[in-house]
Amino acid sequence: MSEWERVASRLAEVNKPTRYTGGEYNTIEKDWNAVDLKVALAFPDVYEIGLSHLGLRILYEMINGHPRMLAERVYAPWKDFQEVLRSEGYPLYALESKRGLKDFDVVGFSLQYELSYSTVLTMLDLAGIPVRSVDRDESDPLVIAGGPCAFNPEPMADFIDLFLIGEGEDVIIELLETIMAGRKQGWDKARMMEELAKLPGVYVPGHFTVEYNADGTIAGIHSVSGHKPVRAVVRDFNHAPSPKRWIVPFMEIVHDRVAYEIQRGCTKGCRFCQAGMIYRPVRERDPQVIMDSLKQLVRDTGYEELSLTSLSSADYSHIRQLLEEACGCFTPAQVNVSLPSLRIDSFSVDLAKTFQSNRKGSLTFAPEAGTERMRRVINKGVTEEDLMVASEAAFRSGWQKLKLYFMLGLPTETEEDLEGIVQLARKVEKLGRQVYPKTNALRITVSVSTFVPKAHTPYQWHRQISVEETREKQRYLQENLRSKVIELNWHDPVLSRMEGIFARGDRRLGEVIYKAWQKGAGFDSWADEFKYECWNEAFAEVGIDPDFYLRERPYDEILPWDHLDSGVSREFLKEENERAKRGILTADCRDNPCTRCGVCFNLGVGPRLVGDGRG
Amino acid sequence: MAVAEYRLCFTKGSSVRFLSHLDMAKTMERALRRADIPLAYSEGFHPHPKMSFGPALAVGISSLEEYLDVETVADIPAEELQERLNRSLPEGLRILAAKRCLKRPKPLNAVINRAVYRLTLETEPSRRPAVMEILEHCMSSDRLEVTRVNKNGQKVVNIRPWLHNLKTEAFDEAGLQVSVTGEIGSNGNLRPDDILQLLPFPVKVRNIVRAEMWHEEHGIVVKPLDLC
Ligand code: SF4
Repeated sequence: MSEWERVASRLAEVNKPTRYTGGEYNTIEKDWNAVDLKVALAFPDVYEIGLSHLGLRILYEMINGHPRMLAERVYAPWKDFQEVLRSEGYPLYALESKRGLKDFDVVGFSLQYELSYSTVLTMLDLAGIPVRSVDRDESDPLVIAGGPCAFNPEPMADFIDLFLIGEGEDVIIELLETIMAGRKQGWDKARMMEELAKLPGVYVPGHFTVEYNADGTIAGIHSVSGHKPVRAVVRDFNHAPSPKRWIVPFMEIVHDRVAYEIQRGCTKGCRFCQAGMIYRPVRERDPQVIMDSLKQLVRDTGYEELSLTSLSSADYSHIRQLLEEACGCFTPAQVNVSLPSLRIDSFSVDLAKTFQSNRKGSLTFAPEAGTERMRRVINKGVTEEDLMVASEAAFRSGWQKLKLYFMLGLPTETEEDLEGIVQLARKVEKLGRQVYPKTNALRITVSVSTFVPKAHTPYQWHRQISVEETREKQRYLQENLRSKVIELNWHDPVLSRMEGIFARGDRRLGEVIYKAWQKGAGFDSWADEFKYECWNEAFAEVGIDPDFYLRERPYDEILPWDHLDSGVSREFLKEENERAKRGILTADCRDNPCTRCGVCFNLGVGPRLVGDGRG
Repeated sequence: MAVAEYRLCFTKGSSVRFLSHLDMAKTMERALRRADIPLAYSEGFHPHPKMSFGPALAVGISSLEEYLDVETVADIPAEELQERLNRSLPEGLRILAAKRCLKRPKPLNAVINRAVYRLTLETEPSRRPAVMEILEHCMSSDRLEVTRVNKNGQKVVNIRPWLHNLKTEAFDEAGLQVSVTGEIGSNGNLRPDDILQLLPFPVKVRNIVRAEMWHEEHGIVVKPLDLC
């Protein structure tokens, strides 16, 4: 029995064992003796979430496409399997070769949300890799990380050797080739880091020192190497690599379908939205490129569902034609086509009608805020009439279930805005009752989350409301939205608080993460697993007041991520924050003149829309 | 409209032995679609492919002989279907035989009533003779009682009526090979690990494989592929 077979013989004891076996259709298993660089792509959450993530799939294929490199996958094992690994003395391994992560040259984490940080430590530790960067040397893998959290990676600075900021596609191979060359020439870790820091998008936290004022604010961030990290960007998104050998899991995963990115970036400019700032500008793929890829993906996966993804797919220039063509092509073959998000207009409802012959499911609209004033503040230029028209169109088209998304604690929010949420929900309810006077199936789900200000957005200076304030607002909604038709649900305010602390935290939080993890924190985004006591004790022991990170910050304060350039200028963010206060809308540069966010100039890219001559 | 029905016999190798029944159904469906075999679908809002498997296999057990019936909307030669499907299956799953049914067959679950399991057991050398003796005595016992746990609690059941054959081979480096033929289906179910409960001390199970399945009546054995 091989070493791993000994572990496998205990898999029947654990929940969802196919999380840990590998061997899914379309996985790539390369010969370890035929390559010079081995990369483990790690996702700090369970398999069914990690494999649903598109970014790692792209990198997996790119790296495996290189003749001298291989990439394998690893996800966070659930606690039952952590127990098995520990008791068998087997390290956390990559699914393809079953080799421990220590055998790899590079371990690359995808950091999609702040509440996965402690799980990164769990994974390193299960692999027998020292969790702190300073405790690792040339004999350990290089631990790198990317994803949206890399735009303020400071809380993880102690644990990660190098962050890749921005879109990985154009830089990952150069980065890995440099590591390969360095390993061959026997560079020590310091030399390796020096060379890597020169590459676009690379941020080596160890090359920066941070000084603090007596009041805890930052006095200065100094670059030891002289480099200033700038976000990486994909210049030719139309031809940028997208997964072709789409891995088909055995078990059901969260996004259990083929996902194809029809465009990247969104310039609608919602002021709370980090994705809308850090993935600029808009770059659309040609319809022909999309259709060719979709056909190949459907053929090679056998999937029964495919999704045309992006941050706002309804905005894609030729979305109607594309959707009609895709439905015409795939519906007869029993493949459902879908869009991940809709705008609030009848056009979007029309689109939904094209791809959803089954209207038993729900349709989701995200007005985000309850009043017109509040929506202007956040630059979500949706009117009440838009929502009514769209809702009526949805009801009349046969949908009986609508979901409405709102945020609590947005800048300048008053009770009137909360009352606005109630009013909107009531009006939609009334509309639904008019269309469906008799049915019991009518359901309006009002889903509220706490607004968490994020780095590199116009609201990066803003205060986040407290758990108590959130609960009060939730209570208000609960009391005023009693109805058989309306269902209210909300996000746990304590988790939003934790997210907010790390989203705008600095590197002093590394010690807190370490301590909380030692006390047993892990899988923090899982409400049942989240251990508030561990975190509170850790904050107390390190002597950090977490509320420090949730407070409003003046423009002249140095923010922990100020040394990282997203391409969007600080002036633009500031201006947007000011316009927000005055309720002034900023137009989308997709179909309006450039509003000078700075990205195109700073990064040397431009928006690309299909068929408008701007590409 | 379905125009043809096929009965497939396939292996579930050890690398895919943890697939649940549901995982298996999805995996087969997608493989059939990759192979461009036009499945017949049910009507309604959630059309599902017309396919049905033989008796379920517990998670963690591999099999040399599993069965699946599928209906298609095109008439494809069975060998071609087999070859195309084999090219589309993940490693560990392999179609051993495919037959285009001559008539609409009775469902696999209604006809299959025997399953053979091969277990590889491991125990310390001093206990081996005892293990051999107890197992070899099973066939001549009148009652064999084991405890089954279900949602209503524990229940003692006599598995003797379901045990149709039990053979042991001598211990070697691989362990003790035991082959058990048991009842499966609506008249009762012998579980492969039932016999472990008959031993007075725990043994380690290195491996369990379902080796064969068939229909048996009045001592006459018919294989599922000969029943369609
Ligand atoms: S620089 Fe101008 S055109 Fe480019 S993304 Fe920003 S606003 Fe749009």
